[in-house]
Amino acid sequence: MSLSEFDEIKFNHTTKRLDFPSSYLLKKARRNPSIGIKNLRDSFQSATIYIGNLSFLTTEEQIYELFNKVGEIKKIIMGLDKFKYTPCGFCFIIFKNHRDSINAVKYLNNTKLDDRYLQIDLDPGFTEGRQFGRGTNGGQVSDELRYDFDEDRGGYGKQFVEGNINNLDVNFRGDDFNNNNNNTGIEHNSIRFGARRKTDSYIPSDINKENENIPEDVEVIDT
Amino acid sequence: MSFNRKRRFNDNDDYQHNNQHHHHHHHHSSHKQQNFHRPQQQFKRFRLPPIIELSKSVCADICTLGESPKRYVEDVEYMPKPIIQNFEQEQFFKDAILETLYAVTIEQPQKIIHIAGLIQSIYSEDSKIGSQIAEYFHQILQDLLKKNFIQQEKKIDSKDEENLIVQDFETGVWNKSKLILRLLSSLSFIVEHSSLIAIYKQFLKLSIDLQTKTNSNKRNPLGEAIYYNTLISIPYLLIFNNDEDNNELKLKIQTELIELAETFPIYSDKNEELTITIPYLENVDHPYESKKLVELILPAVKLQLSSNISYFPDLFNQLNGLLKKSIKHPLPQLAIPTIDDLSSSIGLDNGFGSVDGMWRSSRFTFQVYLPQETFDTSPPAESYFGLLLRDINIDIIESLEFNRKEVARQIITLDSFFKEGTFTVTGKSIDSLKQSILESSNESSNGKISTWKLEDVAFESVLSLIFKLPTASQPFIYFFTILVEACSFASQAIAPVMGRAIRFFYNHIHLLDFELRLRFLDWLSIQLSNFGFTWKWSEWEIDSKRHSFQNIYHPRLYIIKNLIAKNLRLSNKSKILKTLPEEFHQYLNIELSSRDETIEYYQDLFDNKLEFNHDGHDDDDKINNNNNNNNKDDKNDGYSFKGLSKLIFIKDGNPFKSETEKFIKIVHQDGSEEEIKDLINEVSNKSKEYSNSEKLLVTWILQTILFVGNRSISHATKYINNTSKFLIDLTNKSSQVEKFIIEATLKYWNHDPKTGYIILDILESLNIISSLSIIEESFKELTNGVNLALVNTFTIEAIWESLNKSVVKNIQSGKRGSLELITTIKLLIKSLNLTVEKIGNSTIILPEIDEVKDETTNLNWKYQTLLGVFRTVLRKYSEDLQIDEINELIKDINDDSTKKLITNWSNQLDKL
Repeated sequence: MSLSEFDEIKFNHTTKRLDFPSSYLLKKARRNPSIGIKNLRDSFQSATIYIGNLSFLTTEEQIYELFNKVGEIKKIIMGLDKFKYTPCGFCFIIFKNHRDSINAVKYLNNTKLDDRYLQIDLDPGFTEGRQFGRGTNGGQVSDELRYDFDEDRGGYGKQFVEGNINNLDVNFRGDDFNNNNNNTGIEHNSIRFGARRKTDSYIPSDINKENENIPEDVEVIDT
Repeated sequence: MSFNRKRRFNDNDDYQHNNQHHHHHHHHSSHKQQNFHRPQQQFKRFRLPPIIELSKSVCADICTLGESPKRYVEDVEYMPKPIIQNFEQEQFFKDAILETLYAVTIEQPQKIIHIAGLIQSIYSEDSKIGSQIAEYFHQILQDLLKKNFIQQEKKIDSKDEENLIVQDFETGVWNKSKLILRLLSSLSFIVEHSSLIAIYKQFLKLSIDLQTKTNSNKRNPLGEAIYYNTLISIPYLLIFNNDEDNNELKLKIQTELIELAETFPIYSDKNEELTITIPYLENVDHPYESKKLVELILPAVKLQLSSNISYFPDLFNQLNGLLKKSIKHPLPQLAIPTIDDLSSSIGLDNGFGSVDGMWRSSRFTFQVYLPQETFDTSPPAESYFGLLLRDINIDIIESLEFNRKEVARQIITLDSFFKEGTFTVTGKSIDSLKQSILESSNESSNGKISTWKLEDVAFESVLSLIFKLPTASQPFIYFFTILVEACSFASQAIAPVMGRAIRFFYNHIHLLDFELRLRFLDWLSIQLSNFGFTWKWSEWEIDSKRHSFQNIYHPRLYIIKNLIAKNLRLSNKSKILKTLPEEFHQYLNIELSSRDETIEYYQDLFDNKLEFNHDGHDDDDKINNNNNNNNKDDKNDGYSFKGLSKLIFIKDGNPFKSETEKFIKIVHQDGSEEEIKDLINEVSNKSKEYSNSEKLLVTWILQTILFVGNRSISHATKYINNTSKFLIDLTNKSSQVEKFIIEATLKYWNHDPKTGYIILDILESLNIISSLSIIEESFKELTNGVNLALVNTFTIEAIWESLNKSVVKNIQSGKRGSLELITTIKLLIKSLNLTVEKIGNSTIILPEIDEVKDETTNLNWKYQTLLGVFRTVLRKYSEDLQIDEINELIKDINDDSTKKLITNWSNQLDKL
């Protein structure tokens, strides 16, 4: 189903605009276009942005320092683990001026903070409750779906921790684990996986089944 | 959109088939190829009608035309076929093609000659379609000019109104006109030369009329813009002609255009010169001589026309077989707006698009990569090619503002659009260039090799926009992240280029305008933050060793200290520590006041009755012990605080310990007003035992609230908000109490001043303290000779923040000369007088940068910094100032030469 102006084919630019809604937002909107279009339009009017892929250790002050370069910030809402109330790697920023939220997406998406690539998306506006992770462990769902080791985001993903990893037909690479200054305290078996996404074809069926219980829109980010 | 779904497009298949070879164009990947890889998805996929698919794929090819020089001829050979076959039949297709050609022209002007080649080969196949395209551009040019007609303004319907709102990526009517003129000029193989010459004449005449028939005693920004824009496009007339035609054309250009252009009276009056917008200090030698663009363009074009060297690729000969000589198409003259029509846009001051707006004040050459001893690393700024390249870069940067990645890619690969060999190999180092020159001169074989580095030109163009005064065309962060993108795009090749730029500014920092120093810092911190904060700090070690003790106002020390402070804000102490050589570890302590000063402050509150045990562990020790662990620091409730607990009032033995604990509980649980009041009364009575009782009480309240909210700015905001009503009552508009609050806040956040200033900003926005008090406190001359506004960038940022707010408020209410701004100027004058007095009998000088002498040197640096801040304040807030009023204030400056300098600035303000 068409998303009105967001599906319109235009020839007025030589390259795409970086302030276009992400594929995640579009996919989400497509599931229920009547509300979806409204959300998309709202996200162009709102002064709010979503930021993902943060390190759990990145502080509000660091975020403030970077994004204040885009415009005056009204509020930063750190994303929290719903059980532990600790930062779980995402946040919302509400600017004073709605144009600044668009500029933040244009100018800072995929740049680095704390050595991690920021994932910035337009947002229709913050509502209470969205500051909490929606994963079963309290954090973001994306952290439960990954198999890699990510020191800044709590180590291994839940899939690994819960032993689902044993079912995986993946190539264990015991030879090149070179994360020497790891000090998160999480035990690891000197193995390392590349970043895997649930869409990868080799994931066995039982894991896919488990994923069915999770709402579909959790693939990349959690809002 | 309307189209006939059932219609068959045989040529569509043909087109896609032909393009199967073109793997270098990722846009070419046809649906068939995708189907092969993802059969599953295809069933779900909404299939676009063939004509739309065709439009998409042809237009994508147009957009990337020329990116691979070797494929260019092949592309131009195939692309006309689908265009010609569908152009007349399918309106959707036709519109898409025309719109795309226009988009390339104004967004990626480096490709203008390449799409001109395409349009002319279409014309050779089908002159009717070819001329329609030429006419389309002519019509757009006419429509752009029509926007200036007075009568047009009167009958704006809502749709037109939309077009009048300038968007970020809009470079402006006149800049777009320039690029269309450039395209039309490149169509000289198919458009009558006399038509083109006539259009040029129209623009030149308009520029001359603007400068002569309006106020000829003044520089005419629009006149200069049109004059420059027109002249810089002239050489494009010669690209698609054989020598014979070109000789004829050159004669026409000389007699009809150049001679006309020579009558443009370039306005120049040294006394009227704007010196306040020069990026460097006045009355000193600059690293290079900056020249006015408007004075350079005519001689540069003349030289280019008489020279045999062209930097454009020889597309005309490359397309030899595809361009067939036929009857040229005539284009009518344009309806040009009158001087009256343009009366409101002569100044190009507001809402005229980003590039047009640059002409508001004189444009100058800007250089970063100065010539090496024996060779240039970029085309000389005053040469035609030098001017053109920078012009193209700026147009790309400004018009593709919505895609910084594409901007970085285009400006870093711009060499593909010029003659092979124009630039040296990407990433070639200066040393290896020197070597190559040596070798080539020894062999004396092939003659000249190019030493021009495309990366230098690209970086210089972006930097010229970052360092543009008085204002920038886009938010700075956009320019910063273009450079970040460029560095990620080809880090091996780019990193040294970046390094050379950083060194250039660092080496000349004492000559650089104060506001530009701050921009340099901001740029550098964003840049370093994106690349793990790696920098060759050892290069700067010598400056730190020389100046860290005596010269607190030394400009290089300013950069070193504040860069580290900014890096700390974007990261954390343990990470930054690892990037720094030991010499610089001292700057990780960014406390506003020293331990002794802090102790003195608290002792003063408690009539010297406090006992400080010196058991406190040092911050630095702590980091050395827990190098890799950031968590530990956070668990410690108060922040580490050299020997002092963060909140003095809960230390064992503090007379207010139990009340403080009670208050913490109340604030934390959002207790009732009654509860708060009772407790305050209690403490108020108790504080009467001390001589500074009011200050003690205010400090206690404030710092306790800050303690409760010390986890983040959000927490602080929350608790200040909860108690705001009560805090407002507390200050009760007393500036004395406001100052207690400011001091209490900055002392509490002494170890992290930026957070302190952010909290002041929050207090200000809740009307608990005023901007005026923040400004007054920030400019305070401390007893140790330090003026924080001059040494700490967080302090000056807080001042800008406060001034921005009050100036905006003031202007909105239709007034001028806000109290805050006037106070700032008075405080600056006071400091200037004090400093000059201290310098005493010796003359005021700009010290040598390496000089390490005595206190006078330090005072001279202080004086220079004060002048820099003064210049910035006048320039930044000129809108809120009245010249008479400032000149009245300036009378209080004691030193005559200083007074003269500043009077000269203030007299320029109405021209900004």
